[in-house]
Amino acid sequence: MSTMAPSRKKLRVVAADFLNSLPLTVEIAEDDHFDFEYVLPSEGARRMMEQEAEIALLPVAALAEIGGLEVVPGPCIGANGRVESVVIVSESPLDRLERLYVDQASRTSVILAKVFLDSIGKGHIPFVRLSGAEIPPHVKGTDAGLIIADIAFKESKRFKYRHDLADAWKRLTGEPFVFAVWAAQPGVLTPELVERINRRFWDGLARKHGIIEEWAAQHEMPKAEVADYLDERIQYHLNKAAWYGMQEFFRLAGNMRLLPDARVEFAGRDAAGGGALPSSFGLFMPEVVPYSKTYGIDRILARAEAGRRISLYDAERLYDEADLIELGEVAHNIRNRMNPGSRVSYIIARNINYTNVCNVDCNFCGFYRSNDPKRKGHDEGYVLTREQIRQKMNELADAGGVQVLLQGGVNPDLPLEYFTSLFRWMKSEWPQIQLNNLSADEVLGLCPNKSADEIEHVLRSLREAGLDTLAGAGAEILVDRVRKRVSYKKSRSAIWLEVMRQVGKIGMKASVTMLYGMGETTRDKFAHMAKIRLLQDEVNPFMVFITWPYQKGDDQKLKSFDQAGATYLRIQAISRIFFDNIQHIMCSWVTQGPDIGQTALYYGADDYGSVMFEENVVSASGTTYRMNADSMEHNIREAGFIPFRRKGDFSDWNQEEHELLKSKGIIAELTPGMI
Amino acid sequence: MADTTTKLTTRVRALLERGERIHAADCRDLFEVRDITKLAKLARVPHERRFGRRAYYRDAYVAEYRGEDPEMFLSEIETVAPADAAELLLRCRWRGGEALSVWKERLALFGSGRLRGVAAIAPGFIVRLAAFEGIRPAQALEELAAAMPLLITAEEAELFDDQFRADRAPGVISVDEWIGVHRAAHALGMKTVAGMTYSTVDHSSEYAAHLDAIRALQDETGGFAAFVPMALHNRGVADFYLAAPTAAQTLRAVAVARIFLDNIHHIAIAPSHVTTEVAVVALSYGANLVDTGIAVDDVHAEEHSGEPIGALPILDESITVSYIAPPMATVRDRLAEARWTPVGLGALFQEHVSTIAA
Repeated sequence: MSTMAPSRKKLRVVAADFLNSLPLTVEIAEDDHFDFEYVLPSEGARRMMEQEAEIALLPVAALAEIGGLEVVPGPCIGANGRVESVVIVSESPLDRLERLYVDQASRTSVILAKVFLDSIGKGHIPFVRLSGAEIPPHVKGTDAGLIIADIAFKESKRFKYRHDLADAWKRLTGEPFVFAVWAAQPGVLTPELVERINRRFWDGLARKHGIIEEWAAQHEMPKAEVADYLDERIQYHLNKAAWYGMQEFFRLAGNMRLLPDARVEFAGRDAAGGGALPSSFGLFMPEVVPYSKTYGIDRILARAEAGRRISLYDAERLYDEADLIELGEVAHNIRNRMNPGSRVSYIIARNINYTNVCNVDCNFCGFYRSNDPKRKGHDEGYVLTREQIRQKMNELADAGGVQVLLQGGVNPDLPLEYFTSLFRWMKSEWPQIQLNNLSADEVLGLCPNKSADEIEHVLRSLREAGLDTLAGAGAEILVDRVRKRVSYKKSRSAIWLEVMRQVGKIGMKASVTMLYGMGETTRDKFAHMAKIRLLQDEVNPFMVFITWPYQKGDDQKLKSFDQAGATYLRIQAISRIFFDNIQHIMCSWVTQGPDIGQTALYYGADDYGSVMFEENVVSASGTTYRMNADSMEHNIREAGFIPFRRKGDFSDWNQEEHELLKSKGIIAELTPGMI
Repeated sequence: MADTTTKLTTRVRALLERGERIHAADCRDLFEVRDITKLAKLARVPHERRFGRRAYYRDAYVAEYRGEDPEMFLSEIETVAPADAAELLLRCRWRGGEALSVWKERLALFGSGRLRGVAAIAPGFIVRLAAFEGIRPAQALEELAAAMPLLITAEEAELFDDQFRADRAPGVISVDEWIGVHRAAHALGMKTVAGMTYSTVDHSSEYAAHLDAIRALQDETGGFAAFVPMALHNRGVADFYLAAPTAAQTLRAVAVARIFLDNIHHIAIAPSHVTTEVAVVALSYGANLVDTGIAVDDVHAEEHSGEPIGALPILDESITVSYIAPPMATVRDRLAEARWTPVGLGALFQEHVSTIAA
């Protein structure tokens, strides 16, 4: 578990530069005690998630997602009734709405909208994510929009129907709504620091009129409107009512599995839960006891098993503290709920490594050959001919194969047309075989500008040529600190996620992976998972999650860590518990061997992966496990399950039975893409 | 079936929690439980009572004597043995034609080395040496033990089932001979290791009967320090993974052994049989000792391995996998990574068990 003692001279503090946050931040920004930076709320959440900031003005959704953070008593950004800056607008009344466009920048507002709509029986309407400015033009007919901040001020009045969500919350619960609080990594806050933050907050409030004037001038808004917003609409005090409101939000969102069960710990308490706060401000302190005292491992597991979402912090605690068998049992029970019937799928598929030329130079890869003529091994680079690919595809077809994974390196000599032509040819020759080709980085290799539009265009072109699903390779650890170390030239996490965002947006599917054991921290592992879960909530691109440890070969300099099979089972089990929105977990017998692979079926996996004809990437590091169909079925049966062969897109996981069990409430209703 | 399993596991749990003994019929039924997690949770009851989060590993340097010059052999292994080895475990095999006096001389030399040494000897060695000399096994055992501390291993235990032994291991000593050697060793005050072979084609009743016989002998002598389930690896089959027991079978055997054998302190697991990774995972299923001193060649019956199961429609090459017992440091690291507290345990079970008793 991560506790962060303040070892730096200056504490890194981040906050959004929204109008409503300025009274909390202007003084802190000028305080030499802090290394302060204004960032987008999502960036602030990322920094807290990856422990690149000690303190953040954090949206409450991120507070729950990350978990384990300490809240500074005193200030908050809330609203006790109408707020004007978080509004659902439409041209139709609420009961006729069929779709809601939401601003992807504010997860807290999106969840609040979901809670509100659910309370009026409209929880089922689909949410579509756009950037804020894109939303107003889409609001027409039965399509509504959730608009926030400046856009809400400027645009909301022109729509026929306006529903202020803070006001709706007040009417729903009778309590204020809290949008954001000052949150800190565990172990950072001291009573003196809490007092300092509160003093800066009071000093900031005293500068409110200056803020109003400056903002109104800069944003060409009526001063009275800005003043009304700051003076009347925003509640800055985390009082008892606000505290209850925040707890109620966590409760309702937790019940709807939109957020992990959140426990908020206040800074300044001693180990026994007693108060040690500065008394000079008379701050409200709810009767809470430290998280670890009330929220033991058993409770995390029990609630996860009951279908509740767990936080990143919960996942860390499970990794550090949970008993392996208990983890496995809960993961297995969740797997049985999500994929019932004691069945384990596998697939007849093959890898075709169409090229080994790659310009990314990952430290952990023993397969690639550089495209740089000066580099060792350059002359060993290859690109398979059509005839070579034909031979491999024929072998696959003859064995009854249903999927091919065409994967190589990021070869700068191969343009988009190479792939579209190749995929068309493969589809015409072997229409029965699904194409699960290319990783996100291979797609990015075809996008010189790396823009979202360009990625979308490339993906659409590939899909039109026959690409069925995108391979999930190359995710490694989606924390840039790690990516820079192990693979400096590889896509950064945000751009990797953007490829997958576009996959989801155009209605394609992909697998998603995690390569651990490269010296990353426990926090890095679960930050990776948290980012994937958030993206899955957003656009639902992922069918299956697979994890495995880095396989160090003799030629690789990067050291390996966390290699035990027991660690693999632990991580896989936590992934099943954590990913309540990804349907399938595949075990990695290719790296773990058939024995741990088989054992993994009791740790959350419902898929045994693929029969392996040919594998050149992992085996380049010396790991050479192989199994045929008989061996796979034998292993599955010996573990007490029923084997069946699936298609590449998991579409034949007995949908009828699944639907029946869902309708009876026996298994979880997955709501992918819900928020 | 689910109901039956629940009733069985509930009954067995109640017995375990009260510290009572499991009936052989329940033992047989436990081998039929498919859900290995249920077995693990039962095995945890006696396991935690005895060991908590401690996991033992053999911190002896293991070497096999193959008939080399004894002095050269001893000098060489003392040179290559890691500094943190608590002792030498010298595996001695019967090769025929070597008299008791020759072995006594060798063992006396091995026992005089810089590092404390123990000779690991199979019951079959004793039986064959006794036959060669025309003496009783107990006498051979006593004379060898006088030369050097002995560890009588579980080798050739196979299954205590006549049909199994006739069909699949006709070359091994009889059940009576195996039991006789261990009983004699126990009478001499030695601690020995019991074992059982499991594979892909046996039956639960055979396993239960075998464990019952081991438990009965332990009731009588109290001489078994450990029990080790040993995977039968079938090297005669091209597809290795059809020929070896799967991890589920391994973990099931480990768990049932821990549940049933209430009178044997250690349940060991051999990385050379099941891989280091499965061995470490087995600690969560009732094993408590990762025993690197057991080699796979000791126990599998190569030439009586049965027929391959199923055709091989896809792979175009046969696979041969040889597991090798990992170095001590690797085992120690793996145990710590898996959140166990590693405790080194030399080959001298006698001393260890005495310590526990004290």
